[in-house]
Amino acid sequence: MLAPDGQEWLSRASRGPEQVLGRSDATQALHRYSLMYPAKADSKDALVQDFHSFRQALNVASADQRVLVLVNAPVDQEPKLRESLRAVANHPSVIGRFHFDFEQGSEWKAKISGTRDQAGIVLIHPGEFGLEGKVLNHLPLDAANDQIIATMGKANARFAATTEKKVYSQHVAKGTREGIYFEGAVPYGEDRDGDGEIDHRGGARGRGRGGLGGRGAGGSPRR
Amino acid sequence: MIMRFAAIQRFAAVQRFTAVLCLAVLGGYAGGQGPRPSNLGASKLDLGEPGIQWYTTWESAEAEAKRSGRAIMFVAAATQCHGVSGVF
Repeated sequence: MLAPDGQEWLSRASRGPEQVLGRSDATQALHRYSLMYPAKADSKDALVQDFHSFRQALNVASADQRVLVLVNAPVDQEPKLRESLRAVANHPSVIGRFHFDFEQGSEWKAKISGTRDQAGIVLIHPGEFGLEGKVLNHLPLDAANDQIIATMGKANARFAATTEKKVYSQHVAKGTREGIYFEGAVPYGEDRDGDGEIDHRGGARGRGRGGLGGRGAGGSPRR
Repeated sequence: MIMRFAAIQRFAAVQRFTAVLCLAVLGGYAGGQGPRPSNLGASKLDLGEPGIQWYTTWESAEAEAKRSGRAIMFVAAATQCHGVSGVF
């Protein structure tokens, strides 16, 4: 837990939330932290989420099984959209149901079907393993917030009605069988013995599982 | 590694769902080590229902925390972790 300046530590860091927040009631512990720092600004004006890359956004949206809202705007229009879309992202019918990403250019289209040439606000159904996706809706950048919210609501309802909820153990197994690979910044696995190297339980055989870059070679074979 | 951040105000905004996330995480970390990916079930949330709205870059989380004056819950998750956004 960190103070609003992002520098002061309010708690120690630990592996699991029970070590930080306590085993009894994590929600109450969070509430106590919130009382220490009462809001000085309205939450409905909170900044809109963003990702470091579209690739990451698509993968996270797939894992969370949420519709991804991609704001694909020219560089000179993006700052204005980051402001105007605050009212959308913090709307009660929207918050917590979507992921948002801002991307310029068109590189993202390589992984997505149903794209258009024009810039816009694009609602994307992420693929099963977050490596591809399809466009659900494409709105112009000057669409009214009410229109955006209404379209997002319909897209979310359709997504929920037509998407199979993941049972993660089965999902992981399927990804492993099919050699699905998502390269992460940190090698897959843990350095349990503290020797500075990721432990590979299966040795060379273990590293070979999961297809290209399976376990131990970096990233997760799951998605 | 994918880092995820949430200003505490988000927990206030979606408080009833915070418990769901925390329960999932607490259960997973019992005993010091979470279950292996092969032992995980499904999310407790129904599809389309709201969960936590995370900030997924440090820059945006820090800016929002300074704007709102709210504390930050910082979660850094490796790909084999679960119970937080983007990982199982």
